[in-house]
Amino acid sequence: MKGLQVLAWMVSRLLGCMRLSIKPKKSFYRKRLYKDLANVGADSIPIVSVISACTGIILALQSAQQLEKVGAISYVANLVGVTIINELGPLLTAIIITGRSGAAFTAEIATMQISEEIDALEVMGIEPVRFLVVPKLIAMLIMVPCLTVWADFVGIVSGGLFSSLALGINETTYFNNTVEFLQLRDVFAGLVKSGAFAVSITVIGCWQGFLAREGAADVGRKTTNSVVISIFMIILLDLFFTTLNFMFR
Amino acid sequence: MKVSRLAQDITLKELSLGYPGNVLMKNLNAVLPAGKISVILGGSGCGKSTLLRHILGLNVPVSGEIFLGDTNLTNLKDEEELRLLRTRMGVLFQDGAMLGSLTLGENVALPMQEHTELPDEIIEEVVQIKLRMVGLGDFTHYFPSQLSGGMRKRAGLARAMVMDPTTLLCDEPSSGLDPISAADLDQLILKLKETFNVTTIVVTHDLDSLFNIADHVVVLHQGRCLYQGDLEGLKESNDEYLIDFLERRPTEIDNSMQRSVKFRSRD
Repeated sequence: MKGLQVLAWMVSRLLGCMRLSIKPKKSFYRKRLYKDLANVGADSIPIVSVISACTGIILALQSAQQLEKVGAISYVANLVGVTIINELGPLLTAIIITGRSGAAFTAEIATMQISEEIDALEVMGIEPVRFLVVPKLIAMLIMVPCLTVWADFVGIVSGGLFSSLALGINETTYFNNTVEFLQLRDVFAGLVKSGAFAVSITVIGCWQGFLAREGAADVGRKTTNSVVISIFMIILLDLFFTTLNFMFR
Repeated sequence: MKVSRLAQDITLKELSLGYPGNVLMKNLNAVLPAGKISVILGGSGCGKSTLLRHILGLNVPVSGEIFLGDTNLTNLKDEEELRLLRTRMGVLFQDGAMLGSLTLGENVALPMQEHTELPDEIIEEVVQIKLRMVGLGDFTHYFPSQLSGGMRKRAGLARAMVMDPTTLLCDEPSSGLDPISAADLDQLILKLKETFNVTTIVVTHDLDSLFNIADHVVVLHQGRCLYQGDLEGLKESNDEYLIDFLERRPTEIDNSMQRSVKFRSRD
């Protein structure tokens, strides 16, 4: 019950200050936004790249094994492209960001809660949700879709390079097949998904942080909760958007 | 709503406070006089810090009212009014509560950046003045984690004073400090009161601080106000708990330890 109260408080304050925060005039809000953009975006590029590259190669290997049996190995490109753009790109990026940024949001806010820093913001007349949550939300809404596009690109390219080197598929054929088979709609659907994941990770991460009360151990507990709930919500949202996409295909 | 720029009394009327199902204090009546240092004294867990949180509007009382001058703080419906009032209140939290991700200068500048439209250069100037006032002029670019506990508290005091508040609230300023740092902080609080004529409320159980700074004392014990008045009256009180407290006499723990020793010696 307490958890839902805190969630309602945070969401109502978030909605209340969204209008003001789209163009933050105060320099320290801008600084916080730049910092969060760097934390969420730039700092995640290496891990997103490595995981996407591995996923592209795994997909190429798995699909080649099956398609070879029916003499359709040239369709590897189609399978890798569709799976990455529609599903694995947004999903894996969201899961990585949950582990990196969502957990960091929870730990940061929970620690601030315990050390009375949130109270200090309140008594200074600074809206804690505006100060802490809004820059993170904006950074996530910008960076998660960007990282998703990057993950899609790396996954497809690595799948293509591996296919040409190890499976003997001509790289021009691979990339032509990918471009021919994919539609702009697929990329757009992936981006919508990633935007929803970004909101979900931020809200859950910050909400769990604000719930922390009982010392250092609670920071760990809330961080674990944040990651588990976020991943659960990501899967649910993924199911919802995939069903929606299927219905309106 | 007009917010006074002069120091004002803080009046607690029939105040009951605590948390649902756990009332810590019942029907508390007290006046904390304007421009004076009021020390709220009491043992650990008696509700001193909770009272401070209620005065700050961070907690809602179970019943009763808190007035700052003529303004009823418990009646403020509009969050904007509360925000405006808080710009006239400076708070020093128990561990300073400096934001760890910001430097000292950025921490102290925060209230000014939020509530004024002053250019950054002027804000920097004011921040320097406030940091020099607490003896931390050379530490503007340090992060709170790079400072000692006493320095963090002094920085907290600089941040509390940056908007030139009319009321200053300090939660256990001397806790965790060595005697010299604690005495320095007491002197700083006295200096701030004399220079800026702020109504100061200090929550503590440190007797040295009490005798150094108090103009007015409120003693809380077992959910009620045991004493309020000046230091002389407190020293002359015949109340058994007050005498024990002022003479630092151990009570229950000591007795139970003696019982436990006797029990073991019988074996």
